[in-house]
Amino acid sequence: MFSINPLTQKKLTRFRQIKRSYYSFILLSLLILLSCIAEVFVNSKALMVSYQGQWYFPTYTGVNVGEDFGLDYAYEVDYRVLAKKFSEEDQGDWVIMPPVPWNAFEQDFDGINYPPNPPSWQDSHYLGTDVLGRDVVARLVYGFRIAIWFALLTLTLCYSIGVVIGCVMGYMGGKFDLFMQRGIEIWSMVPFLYVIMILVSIIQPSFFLFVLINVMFGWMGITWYMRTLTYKEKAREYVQAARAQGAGLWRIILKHILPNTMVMIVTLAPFGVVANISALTALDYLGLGLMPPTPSWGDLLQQGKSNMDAYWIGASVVSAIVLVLTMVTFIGEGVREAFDPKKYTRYR
Amino acid sequence: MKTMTFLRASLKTSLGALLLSSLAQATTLPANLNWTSGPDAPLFADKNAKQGGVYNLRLSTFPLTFRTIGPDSNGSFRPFLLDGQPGLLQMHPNTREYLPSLATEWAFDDDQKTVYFKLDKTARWSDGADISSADFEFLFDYMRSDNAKAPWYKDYYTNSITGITVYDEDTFALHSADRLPQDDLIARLGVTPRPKHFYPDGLPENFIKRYNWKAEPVTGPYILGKVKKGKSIEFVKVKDWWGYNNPYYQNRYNVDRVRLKIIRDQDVAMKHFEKGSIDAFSMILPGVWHNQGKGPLYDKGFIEKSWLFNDTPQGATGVWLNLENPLMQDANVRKGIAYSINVDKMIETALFGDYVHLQSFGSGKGIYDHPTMKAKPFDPKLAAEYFAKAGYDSLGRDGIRINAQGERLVLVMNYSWKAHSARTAVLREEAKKAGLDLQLNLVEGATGFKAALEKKHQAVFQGMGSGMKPAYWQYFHSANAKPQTNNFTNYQDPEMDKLIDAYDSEFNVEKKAKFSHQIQEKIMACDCFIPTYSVPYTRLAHWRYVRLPVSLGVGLSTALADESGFEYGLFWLDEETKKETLEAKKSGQSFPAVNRVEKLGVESL
Repeated sequence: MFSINPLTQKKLTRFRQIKRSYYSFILLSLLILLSCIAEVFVNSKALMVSYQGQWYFPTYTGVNVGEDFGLDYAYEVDYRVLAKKFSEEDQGDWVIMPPVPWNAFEQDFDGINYPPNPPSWQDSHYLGTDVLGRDVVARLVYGFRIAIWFALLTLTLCYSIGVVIGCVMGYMGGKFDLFMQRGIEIWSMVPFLYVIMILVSIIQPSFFLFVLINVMFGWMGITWYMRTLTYKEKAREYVQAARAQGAGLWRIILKHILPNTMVMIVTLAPFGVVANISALTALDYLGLGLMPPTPSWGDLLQQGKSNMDAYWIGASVVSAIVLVLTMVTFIGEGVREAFDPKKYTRYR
Repeated sequence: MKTMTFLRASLKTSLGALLLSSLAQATTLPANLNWTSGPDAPLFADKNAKQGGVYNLRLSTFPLTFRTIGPDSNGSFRPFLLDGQPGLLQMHPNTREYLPSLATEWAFDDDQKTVYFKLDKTARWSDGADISSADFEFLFDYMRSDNAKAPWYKDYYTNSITGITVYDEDTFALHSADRLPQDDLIARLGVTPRPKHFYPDGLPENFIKRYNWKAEPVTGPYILGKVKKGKSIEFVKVKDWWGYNNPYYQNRYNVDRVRLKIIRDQDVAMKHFEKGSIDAFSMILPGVWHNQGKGPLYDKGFIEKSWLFNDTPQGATGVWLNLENPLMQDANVRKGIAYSINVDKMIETALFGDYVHLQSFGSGKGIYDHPTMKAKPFDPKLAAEYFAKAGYDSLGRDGIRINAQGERLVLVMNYSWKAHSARTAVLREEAKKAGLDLQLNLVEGATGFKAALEKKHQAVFQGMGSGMKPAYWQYFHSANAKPQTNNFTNYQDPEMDKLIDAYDSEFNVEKKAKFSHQIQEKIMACDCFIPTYSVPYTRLAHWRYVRLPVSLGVGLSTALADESGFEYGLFWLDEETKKETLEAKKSGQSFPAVNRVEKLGVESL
């Protein structure tokens, strides 16, 4: 059974005591988890269709064409229309739609009102539509999913690289440290934003390529912290003891030093997430982010700025950004507080 | 050393003068020339126009140079420096006949390559110097100079316009390399001179740098005035401009000063416009016209909206499929794609129904347009049939067609302007109905066009400009089926080559039109160019004191109040109305809302 170190246990309890951080953490985790199955809540595909006694679950299965349900077209069936048709015909067929029956790409256009259209319960556009007639809720939800996973993935990769290199620098010291330091200094002088702009103007990056580019320029920050911490830890007795027992470089770093420097990673991580979300949103806003029509907050923000009259676009995306970033910051604060060694020191 | 160079220079000039004088003696004007000064065409400017006032506009970026030739010169600012300048002749913007401008009379030689011109004796450069034959002679030195670093012009002024023969100070002939019908000949030879006296030693070696921020004297009514680098540029009216001796220039170019403010951001510029620090705002884009061009200022009549359906020739805008691409070599796939592009829905939704569905390769070219040609309509069923014929006969899990090898039916379409994302997004969603995964690839701006020239694309969503007559050679001749040309489809067909050659060399208008129709049919049969839309209008939002003529503009107007470069200058500022407007704004009064629509080119719609 996985057992928790009593000290860590103490820290967790402390974190739980900081209410706003703890609830932010719960809420955000929930949101992230739910966003993984966003298709169930926000989707143009029905959750369930009963047609002539047979049940269909289109959300995660292959595409059902109109002909499957007695319609005259061979492309994906419009479930919203189907639901209306079934209820009008009243022959025992029915459709259950998700709460928001729109996906992030389709354009709702009634031929009379040009988008952006204000929020409407009747059309199930709870936050209205954007300039292309796409549902703002859907754009927000799928945009959130992309932004948060982008942030987490970038963070994980950056920290994996940065932590390992930083630790090795601190532990080995000497020439390796010296050269790596200068190397990192030079590399971090490369103007990251400009490089992204240039790269993006040449190739339109996919999600993973975009993560990669961001990782390329984002791993340096953490190395400095890890290097200093490792320097400090290296001189401690337990490291000496491990060394005396013949442990190798990687074993000492990963098994002995890393757990003792984890505090730094944990405290910095939430702020890293904030930075990454902001970076992606900013780049999307400038049109240098992910390829359109990928749902993105930056794109919505841009639309909101260009269409001040369509307050629902700007208002909803700004609230969403503020909300998420505040929650992450609260979590960060709580973690920092909980892991603050001053709490447990004898020297008060 | 100095004296030496001076000696050499003076020797050169005297030698040159000697040569010139001997040339002048050797060449005499042919007798029996049939001189004309054009038809008696109706005037098109508004007689009620008032002179004076300061006109404020917005420019989105500060230009990289004030040169009109050489690197960085072909930007969005050049229309202010070059496009409105009178050349030898001007085209009547409604009847499209040629009228006198710098030349008062002209005559055609029987060789169909040469046109003789007599200059207006009153014509002056903006700095007061006389415009003479020497300036036209200098034009060739200017364009051909290696120091200008303009290979295209060098080639054009060597291999298309071959030279000049000067008879006297105001009389000369220009020569074309090819025999051309009279209209085409004038279109080619009706050039704008360059001021010889401004470059006493010709174009120096460091021309690009030395003249980067020096604007030449011009033939037109406005010269560059005060410039604040990065912030604003002012144009000032030339005193006693010579052009007003010409009836066709009267009542035009009415404002005294044109001030261009650099405002990068469109939304910020819009706020400036609403505040009144900009007088007019181009609103060709439907999103801007319908969503942003509204509100109390419009309802109260402070800002008026004017929409002119003009009569300009429309270039080829559409989806160009690259025939080099293995998938595109299958005619069934191309047909399927043509049926899965829902242009009508795109126009209806993303473009507010303002644009017009283009039916073939360009439009608005009169007799050269195919009379019955129709673009393929959106028909997912038919598209599916063609895709099935090409082997993509079953639907994958995501609704995209797959073939027996399990390959998905994917078309990657490049486009180069972010504002087009809305349009292409509609096409993508609609193409899904035909089982086609239309992937969008935004390659911004100049890079995007470069990529298209490289011919690396599978498909490209792009529009091209157009002249008065359709041009086919650059787009469909096999000679251009290579990188760095406009043959974006890599089309190669010996029969087409023959047709294009025949079209290009035909003099008889009706026969030429017939060739044009045949070429159009072949293009549409190939399905490698899928026409999307044309924009047969121009429109503007402007403060009510910016007055436009009754007809709003003329047939060839691409802007109503010269908002993107000097064009016809038909508008004027009414100071009294301005006073009245500003007072009304203060006191909360209002005027009736004005929304004017004029249709000139209706017959071509």
